[in-house]
Amino acid sequence: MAIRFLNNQTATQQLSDEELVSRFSATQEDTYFEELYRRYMHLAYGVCLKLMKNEDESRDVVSDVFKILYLKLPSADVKSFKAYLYTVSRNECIAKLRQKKSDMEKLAKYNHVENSPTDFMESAGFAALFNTQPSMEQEVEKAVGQLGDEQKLCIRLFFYDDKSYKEIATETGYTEKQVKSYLQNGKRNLRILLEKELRKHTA
Amino acid sequence: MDGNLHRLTFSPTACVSQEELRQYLEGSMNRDGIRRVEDHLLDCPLCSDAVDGFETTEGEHMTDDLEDFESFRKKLPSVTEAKVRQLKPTSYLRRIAAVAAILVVGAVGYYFSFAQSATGPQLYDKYYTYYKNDIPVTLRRPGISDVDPNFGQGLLSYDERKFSQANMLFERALQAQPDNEALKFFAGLSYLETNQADKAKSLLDAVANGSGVYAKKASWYSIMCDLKDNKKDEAKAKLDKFIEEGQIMVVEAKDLRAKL
Repeated sequence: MAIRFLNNQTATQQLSDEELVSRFSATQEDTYFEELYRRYMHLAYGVCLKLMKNEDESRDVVSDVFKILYLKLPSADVKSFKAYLYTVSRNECIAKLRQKKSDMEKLAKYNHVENSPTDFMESAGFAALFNTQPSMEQEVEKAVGQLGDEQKLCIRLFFYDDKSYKEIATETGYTEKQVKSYLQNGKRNLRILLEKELRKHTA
Repeated sequence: MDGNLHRLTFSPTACVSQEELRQYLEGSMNRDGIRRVEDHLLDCPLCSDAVDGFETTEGEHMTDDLEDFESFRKKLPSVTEAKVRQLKPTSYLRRIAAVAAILVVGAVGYYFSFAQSATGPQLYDKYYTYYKNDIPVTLRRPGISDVDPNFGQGLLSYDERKFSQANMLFERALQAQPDNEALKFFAGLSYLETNQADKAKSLLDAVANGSGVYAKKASWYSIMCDLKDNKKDEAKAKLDKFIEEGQIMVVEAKDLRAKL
């Protein structure tokens, strides 16, 4: 019995997020939710840390986040578990910060701070399209040329020269945070440009 | 610059595991691992914000104190009670039948476990599971990335469970990239699938002794090699270390250790 259970545990680890959500929704078996918990708990906690800036409060919030997921997943039509988790985590943090008058400063900072990307660039369709084109080098080069200077530089150092954020920061004088931001936005812009280009080719 | 953005990929990649996060924040991750993580962070706000969060608090209490699932589960009594109340008669009968079946199987298993102790190969059959390839598709395509073409083709063969073919391709790839941890890991798995436990173990041990993302998994499969060869003492020693280090598959490891 233990062996069958353990073999099932290993099999559960091989399931995709979507399969785990689907099976949990259908059966309400904790095994499936537990695997999601194991995969993402530390990440949700980190997201809460970023917003709450307090470990104890973050632990409380992340626990609430997973309670919400546990209750809502079976009836929610979740396309992407991690996008859903991310949204719930941020919303819970914002709600908690609003409750506390003393934390209005943190909330204000959050509202004004970054325009950081919140999209999960996971379009399998675009990736498949990009991967099946015979040679994208020219198009990619053209798209890179259209980026802003900082994004262009960071993109080249990361994707051409295989440098890490730290190495790029050292070389350029940007902070690591800036490097990451330039790369994130640069890659997003590249994707937009290449998507337009690919649609022309495949139209 | 060589004018080739060969590492640019838009395919989704797996989120950062707890172990990867720890290594990345501690600065103990190898170059390949850093690359994988940083590439992923560009496309995943969840992981990106998580890393920011830990970096902001200087990662002092990384993930050591996180609540385990059991403790979390205990906080949901009202949900559990509701589930019990809502059980339908057919589900209830199905559960009774399942419990009865488990008890019978358990009794039989209990008898056999006393009748004779399992051999290494028998334990291998019970605990070994095929490891699904987790390398993103674009990185497997020969000619697209800097992945050795034989490695890429070998992974395709591995996916199709054509292990003899995969072995041949991996061997060629290893000549070009003898230090590639992912290559050594999958080559080791492929040799294990074709009953070449010695070759498998040599590769898997090399990965297990490193600090890459496959190190822990390689440790587990190296133990499987020992079981296949009926080297139970070696398996025991490795299992003790595996359990002590924790992180993954601790429950399975402890159960296996008890059988040895």
